Parts: sequence; structure tokens; C-alpha cells
Amino acid sequence: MKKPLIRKGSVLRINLSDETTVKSDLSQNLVRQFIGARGYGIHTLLNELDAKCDALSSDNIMVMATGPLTGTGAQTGARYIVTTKSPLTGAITCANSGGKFPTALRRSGIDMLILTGKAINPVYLWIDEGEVEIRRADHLWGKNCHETETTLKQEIHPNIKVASIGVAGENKVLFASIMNDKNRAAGRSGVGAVMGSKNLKAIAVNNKGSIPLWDADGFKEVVKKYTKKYKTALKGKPNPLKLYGTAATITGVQTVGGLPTRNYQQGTFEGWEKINGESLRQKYLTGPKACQSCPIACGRATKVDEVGYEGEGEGPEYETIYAMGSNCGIDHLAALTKANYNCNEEGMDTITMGCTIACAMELSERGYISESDIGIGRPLGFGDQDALVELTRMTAHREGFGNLLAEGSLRLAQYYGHPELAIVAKGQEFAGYDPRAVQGMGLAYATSPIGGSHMRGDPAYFEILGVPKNIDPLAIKGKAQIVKDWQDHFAVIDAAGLCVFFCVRNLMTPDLEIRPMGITELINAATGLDLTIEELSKAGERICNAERIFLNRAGFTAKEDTLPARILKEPLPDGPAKGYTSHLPQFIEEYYQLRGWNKNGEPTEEKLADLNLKYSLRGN
Amino acid sequence: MNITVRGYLGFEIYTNCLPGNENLVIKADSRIKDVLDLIMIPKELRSAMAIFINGRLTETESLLKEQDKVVFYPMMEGG
Repeated sequence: MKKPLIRKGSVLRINLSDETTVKSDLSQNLVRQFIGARGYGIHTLLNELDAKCDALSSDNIMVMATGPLTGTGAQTGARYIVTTKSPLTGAITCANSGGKFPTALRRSGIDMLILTGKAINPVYLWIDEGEVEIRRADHLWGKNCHETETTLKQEIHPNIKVASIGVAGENKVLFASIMNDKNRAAGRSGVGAVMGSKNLKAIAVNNKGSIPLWDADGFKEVVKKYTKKYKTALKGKPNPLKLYGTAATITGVQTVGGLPTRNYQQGTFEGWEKINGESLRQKYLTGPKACQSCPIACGRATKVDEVGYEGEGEGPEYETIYAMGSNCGIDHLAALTKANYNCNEEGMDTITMGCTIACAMELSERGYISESDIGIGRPLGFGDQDALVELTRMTAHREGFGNLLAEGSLRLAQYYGHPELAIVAKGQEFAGYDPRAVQGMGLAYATSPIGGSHMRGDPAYFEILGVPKNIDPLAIKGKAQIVKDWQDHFAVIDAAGLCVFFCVRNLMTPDLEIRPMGITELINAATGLDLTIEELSKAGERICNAERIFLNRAGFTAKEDTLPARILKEPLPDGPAKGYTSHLPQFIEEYYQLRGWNKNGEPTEEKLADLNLKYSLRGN
Repeated sequence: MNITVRGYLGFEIYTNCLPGNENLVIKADSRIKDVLDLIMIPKELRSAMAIFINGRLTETESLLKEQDKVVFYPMMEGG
């Protein structure tokens, strides 16, 4: 039997303070236990980072890691994950992005980059065939992400791939993102601010080299099998993600009355059809855009010609449409597309940006912020599309009121004495599903290690989108188990280097457990590790628990597994979920039991032993 | 009995031909499956769609009543 294939020297550690670099190997045991990407990230942080450190100090560590399927030709095997301590939440973050950069990183011989320290001056990294050069980036500092990428391509070669921060990351906007391939974002929780705090402007990689596979022929056969399954399932049926992008989601969320509107004061938006996937397709779409090896192509290349909002780029995706559209009471698609372009160019998370502006709009309408504080020459209110566009620019530059918006909605609302108006979990703004109308989502937000996010086990699939089957979004019974299973299996998808959009319907079992059947076959053919589905599921559970240990060390307990008072106590005033609040308290106890966590929200010693995580008890 | 029916995300082709793109008159005691038959949605599509009555998720056997609002769209991968 051929030995498993684990690449040598694919871990590159760079100390930006003294510019030393060290290469090391991935161990077979690490790959078996943590798979890759998100798993490598938390394993590194758990072993090396003081969870109580200042996220924007040189003590923080940033891990950029790919998975064993990144760049292999597996469907949607295009992703990498940035793991670090978040300056927005103080918890862990693990922001995920696709495009072409992650594949190029792997082609250049790197599975994992570990960045420590802080450069004295602005620098960028040039990586080619596993070797790195730390180069001065003074000439790039002050440029936005698009300009940075264009400049580096002009200086080095047009085929290189780039991940960079914009002005927002330089200014340590707490929700700055890292952009790759111009418009793809490792978006959430301020990974771009951490990169900026290290004076690291960009990472440029040569797009050469190959990614070895343990059984190349067998791997091709598995890919072929699941491509056939995907095509057969879609035959004769509409493909909403391809036709309309993720903007298609707004139809379902509006239908169930869970479309966050005017800072979560309502669950339906009267202008939803002006900002939905059909409108986007009709008005501004120039073409679909796919990440590496993706048959779906949900990305939207768009162009806006309307005076005052002109621009060209990608998006908006559903989450942006909700955060900057319905949640700000704005039905002007050109304006929110322009605001999206601003965020992509300057490198900011559109969800937190939109929600923070929505929070400011409510604070202003209630008279808690004065017109002079805002400084745009008029009171700020819901529906002000021009303010939306202007405030995104001001935030990236921390200009005037933008300096407060750059701190996110919780700090903004606290500053004005009304923290209850920040709709966040663990300090991070929700994704676009009101937990009062989509009950499982509330549990997912409250227990996600990164705070309000739909990407840590996304109940919208079974509560709204009908995948793999429909479950009443207002029901409670049985959902704690499903959310736990989905969180574990989304961790597997993330660790493998894949995208959930293809995986859930095609590479998982077609039941509510969504066990990683096809992912197991692909990883085994790529690595020769001969993992079972059960081992892979357990790796997902291990990753979730390792992240939880990091949170516990950072000071998070059961108290923080909660939702804002508006969601728990104020019934939705409209739509099909009218009268509902979140039933989170009814979920939590059962969820902790299923997780093997004690009442403080900490994994028990038995659970840690079961997951081979007992070593974590020694702390860090 | 008067109801409204709207298809979205590629399924609007089954409802755009209705008066006002959504109005439908059906017999008393009709079920969702009867409506799907009336607007001629092929059987093979029915297992891969989400159907709602007045914003509440429903099944093809569900009974309809006067003024119900039916919405349906195809299953999709996520947002």
C-alpha cells in the first residue's frame, strides 16, 4: 500500500518583526485530526496564541491555510481560511474566501502560512515555489485593494495572484477584510485590521507549480461521479444560484418574514422586489463569475451606469443586499451596489458595514445622535441611499463620523448609550436572517465561535431554501441536534477547502445529518489517508470544540451564547412570523448536552478526551 | 375560491400567465397539489421545491382556503 501523501515543507512561518522565516512539514496526525484550513488555523492558535492578547498587537498570530482539496480540481475546491483573534469580537475568527488566490498559494508549495510579529515598515510577501521574500510596500500603502493588485501585477507578472488589504485594513477598521482576486473577501470579524496591524499590505503568489494527488486517476473518477450527480439532479430544473447569484435568497427570506428590515424592527421589506436577484440580473449583471473549479458560478460581475453610482465590480451578494438594503430601509439597487463596490475596493465586510449604518440610522431617528455628529449636512435616517454610499467611504478612511462607524455597531451603540440597538451576537452583526422568523438560525448565531454568522452551520438551508428537506422555520423540536450536526459538518467543508454551496446538496448524505460522504472519498483519493466518514465527522466536531476552548480561554462563557433583547423580547410586528420572538432559551440546554459541554458552556473533560483534545487543558 | 399563486426564481413561468400574474380561482377543498396540477408544474420538479401558504412552509397535501397566498420556488444551494 502506497504511503499517504503529505507534502514536505509546506508550512511557512514568517516572523514579520525580525523577518525570519522557517519552513516545516505538516504531520500526518495533524491532517487526520484537523484536516486542513480551518482545522490548521485553530490548532495553531490553540497551541501558540494567548487567547487574551490584544488582537491588534504584534502578539496576535494570523494563519492563512488551505485544505487538502484546495486547488485539486474537486468541485469548489478553491478556498482558504484566515484564522486569528478578532479585534471586533475578541473571539476567534476564521474568515473564508475563494477565487483563484488560494489555489495559487497551494500551487506555490504552501499549505499554511503562519504570520507572527509586526513589520517595522509596510511590507508585502512574494511567494514563489515555496520560497518567500519580504519586500517593502511603502509605494502600496494608501492604495485600495484593486490598485494594489494592479500595481503588483504590473511590477511582477500579470498571472500572479494577490490578497491584500485596502485603506480600511491600514486604518484598522475593526471589520476590515482581506480581498483576493480583487473582489473575493475573507470578509468577517476584522482579519484585514489584524493584517494592517502587522504592517502587511499584501501577499502575492506565483500561480505556477502543481498540486500532487495520492491517486490522481481515482481522484478524477470521484470528481466525475459527483459532477454527474450534480448535473442529473439539476436536469430540467432552474438553477437559482447560477441565474441570480446568492441574491436569490431574498425571495425565501421575505416569504417567511425573516428579512431584517430597518435594523431588525421589521421582518418584511416593502421594497424587496427592487433589490432581489431578478432585478440585479435585469439591471446590472454583466455575467456570472466562478471561483476555481466551481460549476455553479454564483459570483456576479456587475456594472452600474447611473449617475452618482457609477462603477464596475462584483456583487452585491444576498448578505450585502440585506445589510445595506432592507436593513437600512434602502430599495435603491444602484446605491447599494455602489456601496458594495466601495467596501470591496477599500476592503471592508459589507455585513458589518451595512448593519452598523442601520444601527446609526435608528440611533439617529430616535434622537440619540445629533445631526452635527454625523456631519453629512442632514439628519441620518432609514432609506438615505446617498448617506449609505458616503458613509462607507468615510468609514474606510476613519473620517469624521466614519471613525465611530469603523468600530462596528456594538461600540457605536455603546458610545451613544444604547447598546440594545446593536443587533449582534458576541459583538458581531448577524447575517440576513431574523432569528424570530428562522428559529434554528438564532441558535446558530448564539453558538457560532465567531458571533453572528450564517456560515457556521447554516439553518437557512433547511428552514428556508428546502435543502435537503423543508423544516418549519418557526419550529423548535429537533433543531438543536440538526444545528450541532451542521456546525460540525460545515467545519469539515471549511477544513477540506471546499465551498458549502456545492457540498451540501452534492457531497453530503441527503438527510438532515449531512454526513460528509463525498468529501471523504475526495480527501482519501487526494491524500491516501483512508479516513472513514465517522473520522471526518469527528474531525469537524474536534474543530468546533477546539474553537470553543479558545473562546473559553478568551473569557467567553455561556453568558455570551445569547442574542439581543430585541430578538429575545420584542415580537416581530409584521409578516408570517408576526408575534414571534426567538426561543433560544429553549434550545440552549439541549444543545449543550448534545455538545458535551457543561452549564458554563465549556467542553467537559470526557468530551475533550473523546476528541483527543485533552492536551488543551494545560492552557496557553 | 380565490387565491394568489406566485412562482419565483425560474418558476414564475408557471404563474406569469395568470391574471395579475397571480390570481387563481380554484374549487373548494382544493389542495396544493391541485394548484400545481392546474398551473401545470411537471411532477419531476415537485420534489425539489419549497412551497409556502401565507409564509408558512407547507406540503403538497395541504388544504387551501379563500384568500390564501401561495409562494413557491426551486430548492437552491444557499445564500
